[in-house]
Amino acid sequence: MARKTQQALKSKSKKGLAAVAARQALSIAMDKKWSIAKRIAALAQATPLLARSEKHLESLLGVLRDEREPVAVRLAALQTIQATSFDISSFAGVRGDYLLTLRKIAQDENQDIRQRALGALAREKDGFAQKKLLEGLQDPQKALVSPEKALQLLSYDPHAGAYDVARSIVDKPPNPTAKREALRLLAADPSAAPIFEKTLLDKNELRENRQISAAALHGIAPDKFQDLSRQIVLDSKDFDDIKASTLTALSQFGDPTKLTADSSLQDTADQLKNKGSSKLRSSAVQFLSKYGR
Amino acid sequence: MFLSGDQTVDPEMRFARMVDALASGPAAEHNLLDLLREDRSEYSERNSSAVARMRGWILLALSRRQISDAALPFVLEELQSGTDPYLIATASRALRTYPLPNPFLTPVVLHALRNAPAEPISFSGYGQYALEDSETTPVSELLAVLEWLGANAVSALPELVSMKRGNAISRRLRPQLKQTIEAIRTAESVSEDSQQNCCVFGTGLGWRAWDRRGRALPAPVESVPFQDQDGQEVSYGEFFRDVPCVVVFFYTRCDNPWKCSLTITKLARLQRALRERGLSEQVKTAAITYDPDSDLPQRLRAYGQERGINFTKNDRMLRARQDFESLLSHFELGVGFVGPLVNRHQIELYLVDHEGRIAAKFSRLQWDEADVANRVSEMIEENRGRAARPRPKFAFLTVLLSLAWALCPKCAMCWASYASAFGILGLTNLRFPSHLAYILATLFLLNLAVLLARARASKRTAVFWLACLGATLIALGRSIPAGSKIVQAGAILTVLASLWSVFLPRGNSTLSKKHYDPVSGTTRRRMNYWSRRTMSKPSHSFEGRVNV
Repeated sequence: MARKTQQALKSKSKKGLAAVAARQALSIAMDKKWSIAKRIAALAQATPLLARSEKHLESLLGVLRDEREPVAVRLAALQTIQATSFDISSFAGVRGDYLLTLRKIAQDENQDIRQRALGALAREKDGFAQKKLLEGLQDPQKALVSPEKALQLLSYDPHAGAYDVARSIVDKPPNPTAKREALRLLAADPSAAPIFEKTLLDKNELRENRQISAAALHGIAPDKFQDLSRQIVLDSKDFDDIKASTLTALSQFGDPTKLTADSSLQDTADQLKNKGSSKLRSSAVQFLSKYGR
Repeated sequence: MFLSGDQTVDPEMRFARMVDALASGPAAEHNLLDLLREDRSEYSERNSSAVARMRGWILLALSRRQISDAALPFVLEELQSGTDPYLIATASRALRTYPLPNPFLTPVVLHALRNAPAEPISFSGYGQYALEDSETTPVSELLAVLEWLGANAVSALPELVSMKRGNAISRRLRPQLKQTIEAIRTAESVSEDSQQNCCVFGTGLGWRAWDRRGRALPAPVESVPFQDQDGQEVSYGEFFRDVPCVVVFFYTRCDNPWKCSLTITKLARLQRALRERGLSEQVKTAAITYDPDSDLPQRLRAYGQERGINFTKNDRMLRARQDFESLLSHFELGVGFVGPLVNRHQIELYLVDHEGRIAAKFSRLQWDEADVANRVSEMIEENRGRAARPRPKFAFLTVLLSLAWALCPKCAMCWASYASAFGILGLTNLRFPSHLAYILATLFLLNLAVLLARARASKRTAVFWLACLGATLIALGRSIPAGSKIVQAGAILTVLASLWSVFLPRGNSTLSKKHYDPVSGTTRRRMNYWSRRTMSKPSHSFEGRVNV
């Protein structure tokens, strides 16, 4: 009995010490006199205290809003708050203030802060963030982030209405990365199947874009994807890595009846198992083991 | 600039100005509610956030006046199944202008309060997002609704007290929560008869029933081709017949947990309820996707299975392979699109009768499985009763007329012609005509044989070929799902051929020569009578049948 009491007291004192340490850590984090590195380290220690206290979270939101604070500290504060937000019940009381703060810093002078804030808002499918991101894509003068980042953030919500602007970017990309992100975004749009067909068959297109197109077509038009995959495998001039990917996709997701009866595809796979890159060879072996005669 | 086109005039701002103008004009509520229809062109090609801004502005306009019963489904819809904070907040404001605070509203408001996102809202102007902490929130607006409900919100007190103890509501809103609790308690002590209207209001809210009589099935929808969760093809006309059907609409990419996902889960529960009542063989269920391009069979199956749907030949999830527009207009679906994707939709459940016609609709508000099961039972009973009742009087008269006509003194060929002409029409009015299909087919062949004989006798074969065409059309129409019009055309041709054959001139055929008796006065009189009455010249071929 006495032992149990002693253990309880020890545990209580440990908890008490941890609480005191967390409180001290938070006061260091909030104090501008300390170095940036120490304040960031202190923020990590203060996380358990923040999860329990609405008041402390509000003061940390103040640090995040304060443009005079060093960017590194503000980013660390944002990271700490985001970690706390996973505990929905304890975070509910400050959620409104958190969203307000994010909207405010989404227009911050610092690009990193803007990008992180817009990212957090886009994950919440926030209408304000979507409006700002679309405006930036339509008018680069108003852009808060790069077009590729805006497309990436808009792709979190298929209802964001970004398909039209993504199509425009595929047609006239401001840079290759933006085109890649536009293709990724369009992967959820069944009416974009012709764009992916064209990209997948275009040997001059970036490999990554062709891979994205293959994955997109598999999702939105599986029958078409099977036809085009077959066409690519039979094309002696196409690249090995693309052939390997499409052959693997055919093995995994193809129509068994069609593939078993397709003698020309099997003959080609038979040839490919002895030539080309190791990846292509293993794909051919895998295909033949499943559908070979 | 990545987008081309006129960006100078913001269509959303134009819309906002239109709402403001309607709100200050005559019949404001009617016009504003009409503008809330999801299929309005103003919402087309706008993203979900923009649609929320636009609809929220309408609700805000409604909240500046007193809303009526007609507006209530639109307002309660947001509180019951909405997730957008702006729409929840504006709907809360609008609800507070309803003249009859009622206990029925309390559970709906509490549901919204439990799920309302804690997001700051701005009402300062169209499309404005709150950037300062002085603005309102959906939670604040909902607490104000409970305060307005007063004694009618007594049932909410335990939950509100529990909220006060926990940390679900921010520190800033706790004074308002306290004030709401006190207001309800004070009102409760003042009004003792606050429960008198409980559970009366709201019964049947959201149901709309159509009279099926005279509501013909539009031809295009009958041929709409569907693919089910197994890739099986079936047309509207094939699936929606013989027994009534419960139809819901959904799409798998819907991110609102209170709409499509819940609808399909509830459909699965409805299937179980119908099974328990022994009705599963007498009713079909169908879930049709709004997003047929994306919702391929395997996706439909996975979505249904995860939500407990029991797939049978009578219970399917369907995607329209073509002609989705016909479905949109047939069901008058409450859905809008941005590109191929839904930007906003209602909750929609339909009862379709055994002939594929819409019998009833439940829209906007959440439907109750037991309620729908009751209505399905009623519909089945109604159909049974209708089948047991005698046929309408006119159908009986039609058959009688054909018999009377057939019994008029004439020859065997006329008898056959009249009987076939009127009998065809009369047969359709007999109960279970499918059981008489063999007799009908035999009569058809007999009719054709008689007409062939008549045609040979008169040397005018066109009448026979006309009857052949009619018979072919009837056979064709019966074999395809959307063939009712073809069958009708075939029947008309058959009747015309039969009538025409009656008036064919007498030919020099063996038949006419063999049976003609010029001495018979009776026959001659008959011929003269019919000649005078019906013909311009005495060339009618009754003469060929005088010996009968």
